[in-house]
Order: sequence, then C-alpha cells, then structure tokens
Amino acid sequence: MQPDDKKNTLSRKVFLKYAGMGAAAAALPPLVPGLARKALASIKTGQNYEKAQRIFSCCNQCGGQTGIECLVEGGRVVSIRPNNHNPNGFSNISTDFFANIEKEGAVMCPKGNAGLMTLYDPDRLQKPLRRTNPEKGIGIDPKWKEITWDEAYTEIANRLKKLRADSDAHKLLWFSEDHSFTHVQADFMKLFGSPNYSNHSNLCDTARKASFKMVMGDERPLMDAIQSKYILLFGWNPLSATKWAFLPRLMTRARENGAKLVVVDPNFSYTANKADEWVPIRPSTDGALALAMAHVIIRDKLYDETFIKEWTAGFDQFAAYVQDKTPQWAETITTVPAKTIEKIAHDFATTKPSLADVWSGPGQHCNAVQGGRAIACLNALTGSYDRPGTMVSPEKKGNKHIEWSADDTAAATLRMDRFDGLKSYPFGHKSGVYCESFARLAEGKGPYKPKMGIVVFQNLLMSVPGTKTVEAALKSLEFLVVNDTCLSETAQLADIVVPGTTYLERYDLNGHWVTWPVLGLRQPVVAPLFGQPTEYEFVAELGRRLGLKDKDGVEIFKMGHVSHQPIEDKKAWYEEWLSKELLEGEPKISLDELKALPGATWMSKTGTTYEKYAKPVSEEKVKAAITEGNVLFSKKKDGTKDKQIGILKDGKAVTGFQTPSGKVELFNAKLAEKKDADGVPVDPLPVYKPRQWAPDGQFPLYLINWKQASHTHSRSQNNAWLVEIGPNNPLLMNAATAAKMGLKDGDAVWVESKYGKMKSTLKVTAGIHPEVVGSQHGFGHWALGKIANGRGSFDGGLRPTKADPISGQALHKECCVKVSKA
Amino acid sequence: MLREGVQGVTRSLEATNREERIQELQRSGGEIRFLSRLLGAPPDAALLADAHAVGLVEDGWEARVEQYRVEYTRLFSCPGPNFIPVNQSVYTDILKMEPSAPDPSGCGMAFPGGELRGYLGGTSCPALVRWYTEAAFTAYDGARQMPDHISLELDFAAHLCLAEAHALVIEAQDEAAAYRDLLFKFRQNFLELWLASFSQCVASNSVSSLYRRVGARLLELPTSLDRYNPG
Repeated sequence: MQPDDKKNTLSRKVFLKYAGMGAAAAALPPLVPGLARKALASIKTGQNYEKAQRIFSCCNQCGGQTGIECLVEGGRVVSIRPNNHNPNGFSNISTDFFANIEKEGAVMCPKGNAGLMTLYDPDRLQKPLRRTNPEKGIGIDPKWKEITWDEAYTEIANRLKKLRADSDAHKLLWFSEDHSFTHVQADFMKLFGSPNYSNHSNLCDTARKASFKMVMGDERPLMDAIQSKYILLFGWNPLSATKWAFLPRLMTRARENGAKLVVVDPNFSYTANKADEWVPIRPSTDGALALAMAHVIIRDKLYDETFIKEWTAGFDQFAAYVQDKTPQWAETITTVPAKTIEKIAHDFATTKPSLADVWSGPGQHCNAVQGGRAIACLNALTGSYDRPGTMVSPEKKGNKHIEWSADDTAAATLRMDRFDGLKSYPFGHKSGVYCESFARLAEGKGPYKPKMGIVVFQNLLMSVPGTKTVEAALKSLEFLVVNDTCLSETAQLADIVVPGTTYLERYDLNGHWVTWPVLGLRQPVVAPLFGQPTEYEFVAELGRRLGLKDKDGVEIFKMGHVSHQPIEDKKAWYEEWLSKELLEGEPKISLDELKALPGATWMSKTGTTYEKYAKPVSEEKVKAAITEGNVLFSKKKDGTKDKQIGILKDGKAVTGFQTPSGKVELFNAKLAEKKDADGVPVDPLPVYKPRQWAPDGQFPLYLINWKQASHTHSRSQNNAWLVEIGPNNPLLMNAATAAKMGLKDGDAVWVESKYGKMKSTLKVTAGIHPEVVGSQHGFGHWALGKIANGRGSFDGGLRPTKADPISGQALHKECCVKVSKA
Repeated sequence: MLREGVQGVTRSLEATNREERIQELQRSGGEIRFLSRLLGAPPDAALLADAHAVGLVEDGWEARVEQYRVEYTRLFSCPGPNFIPVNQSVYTDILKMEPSAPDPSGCGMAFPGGELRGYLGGTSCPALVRWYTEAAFTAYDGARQMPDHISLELDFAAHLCLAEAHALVIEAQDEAAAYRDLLFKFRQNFLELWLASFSQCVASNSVSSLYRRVGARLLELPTSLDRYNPG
C-alpha cells in the first residue's frame, strides 16, 4: 500500500467512526419514514413562530430594578418595554402612581432599552476557563484553557473542601453585586463557615446611609419630590444618574408643579442644567455649606419650632455649634458666596414643603458621613421628615430572608473576625469594607491571611479605587474564582472563570425602593444562552458538592423549601426557595402566584403613609415590650431585648424614629463613645473637617467622577447602543482654568496623581468648578470586550484604596491631580 | 437477451452508483461530524489521535495536548483580540431598529432607526431550531451551544448526509432525495452564508497546524459536497 493510499484508508476509517459506522460507535437511529419529506414541505412554508410572548420582569442593567415587559419571539427577546404595573418605572409615591399611571405610562432608562445588547453581546463568556499561566497581573496572558463545568466545579469544590478540612473556612472571601441572589450567596458563606461575605453597597452610598441613620434612624429615606415645593440636592443627579427610573419623571413633574430646584455640585450635571440655581462648590465642603445654612435658619428663627420641640433631640447643642458657622465662614471653605448661602437657607426654610438630599457627590470623600449628617440636619430644622413633599421613610416589606444556622463545623470559623475589620467602623454597613479588605490583602495585614476568593458579577479592578492595590490583593490569593458574563479585567486575574447569566436569563425578587411595600419579580425571559447554570445554581451546586448542612442537618442547597423533599433540578429548587421567602414574607403568596399578578408585581394595599413616627404603638405591643428609659423594645423568644418599636412621649407610646432617643438627633453625646476606624472618637455633632487630601503645588486640582444615564459603573461600556449615546468620557475642565494652563478643547492630556496617571481628552466648559476636573466613571477598559476596550479613560488607578473611617464607604473622590498636555 | 443485458448493466451501474454514493455520504458525514467535534470543544487525546490519523496534526502531538486546548480556547472560547466568533448570527444577521416616535417632551431627541450587525441570538437561531426540530436532529451529548454555533451547524449537515445514506441503504429513494434537498437548502440558507468568512479566519489566525488545516478543510467543504450533492 502506498503512503497516500494508507492515509486515505486511515482517514476513511476515522471518518466512518464519526459517522457512527465504526465498530466502536453506536448504530444510527432508525430512520423515520417520511420525516425528511415532511420536514422539507414544512420549512418551505417559511417561518411560523409561536405567538409572541409578553413576559413581565425587572431590569438589572443597574441596581434600579425597573419593571420591564419583554417581547419574546421564536425564543429571542426582540423588545424590552416599561412595565406599567410596576411603580419603579413611574413614581415612588402611591397616590401619584395610582392616579396617573394609566394616562402617562411607565418609563425606563436608556440602559433598560439596551438590555438586548447585553444579552446578545458577542463578547459574552460562554464556557468555563482555567488559567494555565501561573503568573498573574495586568497585561499578562492567562493562557486560558476551556474546561467543562464538571471540571470547574470539581476543582473549586476541592479547594473549598480543603479549606474546611484545614479549619480555614474563614479564609474564603466572597464579593458580589448587591441586587441579585445575595441571600443564597450569604447563606452559602454562613454554612461554609466564613464571615467574609461582602457586596457592592460600600462602593456606593454607605456614607449617605450612615449620615441619615445617625440623624433620623433610617438608612435610606427617599425624597418625595413630586409633592415638594423646594428641592435642594447636594451632589445628586437624579435626572441622569438614574438610580431609579422614576426619578427623571418625578423631578420633571415637581418642576411643572412649581417646585424650586437648587443643585449644589462642582459639576454642572444634567439635573443642575434643569435647576433654578446651580451652586458650584469646592468638593467635599458640602457639610460646611449645610452648617452655614443651619446657622442662618436658627439665627433668623426660620425653623419648625413644633417639630424641633416635639421630635428632635440636641437642638441646643447643635445651635451652639453652628453659632459661628456663618455664611462668611462657609464662603472661604466652599467658595459659595455668603449671600447665596443666605438666600438658599431662607428659601429652603420658608418654602413648604422642602427637602434636602445628598448622594455620592459629597458621599465619597473622607469626611462624607459628618457632611451628609449636616445636610440631614437641615431637614430636621424644617420638619422635613416623613411628611408629604419631604424625605420619607419607605416601608420595606417584601420577601423574608429565611435564616439558617451554621452547623458546629461552620460555626467554629464563622465566629472569626471579618477580614475587612468591619466592626472597627462604627457605622459600617453589612456589605463590608472593600477598601480595607484589598489594602490589607495587598499589604499582608489583617487578622489572618485569606487564601481563596470568589467574585460574582463584580469587576473589582475597575470599581474599587487604587488599581495597583487591588491587583496586588487579588494576586495574593492562592486561588481566585470569578463568575461573570464577560471576561472582565478582574476575571483576567482569576484561576477559574465561569460564565454568568444576564438578568434576562434568571430569577430574583426585588423589594423596590418606593415608599410603600412593592415587590417585583425578575424571571428568566429566555433560557441561559449557552446552557450555563445561573449564579444561584452555581452556588447550589457547590453547596451540594460540599454537603453543606444547617445545624439541624438539613442540606439546604438540595432540600425543597416548600415541598421538604430533595430536589435534583436546581432551577426547581431555587423556585421553591423564592416561594418560601414570599410565603413567609409580607406577600404570603407563592412564586407562581407572583408570576400571575399583573406585571408580576406585588404591592401592599396600604400605599404610602406619612408621619409614621407619630403613629401609636398598639397596647398589646406595649404590654409585651421591654422599656429602657422611654424607649420601647420588642422581646426575643428568650426574653431579651429585640427591635426598637417606639418611645413613650407625653405618656403615650408612639413609633418615633429609629435613633437611640427615638427622635431626630441633631446631637448625640453617646457617639463620642464610639471610635472610628482611625481610632478617633466620633463627634457628637455633625462637624466640618477639611478632607485629608487637598490640592497643593504639585497636584493643584481636585479630581471627581460621576455617573450618567448612558452607563452603569464600569459594566456597560461594551453595549453597542449605550456607546452610541455615551461613547467616551472626556475630562471636563473649567474654561478659565484651561486658559491659564494654555490648554484647549480637544487636547490630549495626562492626568496624574501620586498614585498613577491616565491619558484623556480635554473638554473645556464653563460647567465645572475652576478648581476641579472630572469625568464619567467606568471607561478605559482593557479587557471587557471589543467595543469597550481602549474607549475613554480609567481613573481608578489615580486614587488610594481608602475607606471612610466611620462608614467604610470607598473614597472614589479623595484625589488631587495635575493635568498636562500629552 | 440484449435488453436484459442492458437492464442488468444499468441495474448493476445503478447499484454501483448507489453503493458509491452511500459510501461517500458516510465518509462525508463522518468527516463533517469530525470537524464539528474539533470545533465544539477543546480537543482531548482521543480526538487528537484521530486528527493525527487524518493528517491534521504532526507526529509528537501527544506532548502538545495542553497547547492545542489553549489554542482552541484562544480562538473559539475566549473573547479577546484573537477570538473568532463561532455563531452564525454574528456574521449574517441584521438587527433592525425602528425609528422612535417623536419625543413628547419636545426636546428633539428621536432615533432615526437603523441596523446593527455582529450580535448573538439573531434570527438564524429560531430558524435553525425549527430546522433541527423538523429533521429530528438532536445535538450530540455535551453540546451546550447556541443553535447557530459552527459545531452544531456542521453536525446538522453531517446528520443530513448520514440520514440520506441511511435512506439509500433501505432503498427509500424519495426520502433520500428529500434529505439531499434539505442539505442543499441548509447549506444555501445557513451554513454557506458564513462558512467561508469563518474558515478564512481560522485558516489565517491559527498558530498551530491543526486549526490552520481545519480552516483550510472547511474552505474546501462546499466544493467537495457539490461533487456528490449537485443540488
């Protein structure tokens, strides 16, 4: 036989094996007579899709969770529209929603519209990958190797088993997004035995949460803008940084209803653009401005005397503190003219109802909590809490998280201190302290050395300030797993990456941020495109492989929580998990019943309620309560003190505020007993302190950043539709500053801090404070996808990895820079 | 006698042609299915041994299994600079966007409508699902791909070749013709709309000879199929 003949024979033998004709191969299935002819006739008739389905769900292009209605044809999502049954796309006030939804219709933001481009992004990760290059770092090729899901699970589970076997379970760190399947992840960590579950919130608004919590006991009061007549916003851009899709409509209607809008912000934001007045301010000095306003309000007796007398504590101490905080004093700090401060203070206090709100602008500098607290105190002076048109405490009632207790093995390591030192932050949030975690990891500090990390739907390298520190931190882990939809910058440092799902492929329950109890369902609109498990199925599979049980020996990742029978199918298992949370929560309905509700949305019939603080506590509850001073607490089963349920006021039991005194606190002497993470006692007053990093000769400009409606943090820059409306992020600089520096619009520039530098394109404008430069955050990717990579500039590397010492909030704006022509 | 002889020769020729055709369909179907496996997942040792037997990889391949797996990932699994999209939608489908209605708020923002290419989950997907269902095609075990993945489209083409062969074996001529017609239309309406673009990328971007040769073989595939399936 000639070589070619031999080769051909061999090839034929191989091909026949694949044809199913080889000896070792299975025979072909029997032929169905007539099938091909029928198929031919059928396909000639052209497409005949089933009737398009309308499926109601909730968006998750950002954390806003807007209600959506998806049109699905032939198994494809072809359109995403607003869901008119879900108030999250319309209003945060029930009366407004019920009166106007039919005539106006709900809305969603550009990101929601562009969800299709996220679902069908060609750069989505489709298969699990294993790193083969042991060397890690930015710019180093991981030399990925595709592996099967079973290989991925086996390796991850083996690593986790070893941690448990070595009593090192606490050395597992878990980071996740904060709006999706958090319960199942937190429970996994608890039953595994690690206290180190963290999520996104401390990158966002935990400073604001701490500020309001300290003053009025609610972490997240919501502005009732639509009924307000005077809206004062500090570093908060609701028209464009659409935290919730209803915000632009509310602001627009408020203006139509005659509300005055004043925006304090170094940047002429979209909201500032539509305001009666834009007050450009030096970054991080908002607290000083608020204190000076308080000075004016108290000096001129413009405050709500009745509210102050009945519902606040510490007015005298606060009044004494602000006595010398004059508008002139504030002008030197803030650069806001004293007469402007006088006018805003007068207008704010005399226009009823009014509200003052603050978000991430002032909330991401090192004195953010006390600054935010000063702003929250303005509402106290004018009685602007929980009344129509003011800052309203939302009633958050929805699904109930079922608590599981760890077994003895897990409990032993669960008792260890959190690695991020959360307890040293007096108003730290349960989401943890990312900055402390990464700084400790990078520097080899902390109570122990973590060994393994699991990151779910987070791009830590782009979202935590201080890229070099985050890189060093992630490299210090022995093993890193990332679950994400794209091969992000963070995923490039992983040992194993597994593909995640988009919000159109999975479930979730969303307690909406409106003022009355509303819960929307996110549900799979299409099956996961690549057959990959959803994130909760991923967690459940790991839980099963590890045999995790609660202290009663129940395998919670396998046991059906309604049927109480083991369930193999993990989707069905999770459906029972959700049903259990719904049945035991406020809705008291199953998952199927929620699906059947209009818009797959449940809402309480109570609607928005006001002045809840004055509501009487039932006699029955009072009788069963434990009383300490004049504060009432419910009792736990063991008879010890549980939750604060009210206060005794004028001999009557009323709900009050959730502060230690039960009143709005302008001063709290007990705060001085707490020390912040730097060891400094927390001031009982909302003091103004200059931030630590101010401009100097070397780095003369403040660098800030912001969000716009076109993108969500750093995760949407590969979305084709969104880059059409938000293609990049030029560096904004005031025209006078640019002229002094000899720079002009369109110049390529270097922006440099003591931590790093970035190249950007200059946009010269009158719409930014002269001492400030800034840009939209989230651009400058190098790994996310073809559209995102190389687009715009990334500013995370210019900052230190530092948290606010009171709340643990990441400091995204504590940065000064110099700018030079590139 | 002569007529009987001619008829006998004709029958014999027909039988020979039929036999040849069956053999060729089985060979083609097997080869296409083999190519489908090479593009469906990183190669394991068994697949590479077969690739070696058919001349797609050189001697000494046993020492390079990991390299081939890394290269497969770089080319077909790992979004990045060297990634070659493996789904038909990305190559052929057009996402049409209707113009937006005039903005009621009057700020003059309206979208004029347009087209977008290069996305997953296009109209090819539901159309292919329909073809697969009608032809009773079941994806091979372990294929967790979208319906327009190259591996599945090739596997379907192989399925049609082999089904025609099977029909010929049992002398179901009409059914065999219908399978032949189905394959012709499938190539025309799906596979060959993008096979050349895809294969060209594979042939020119691969580091190893394996995928360069796979790309080259795929480029020849339509011609070799035409030889036996003239349409």
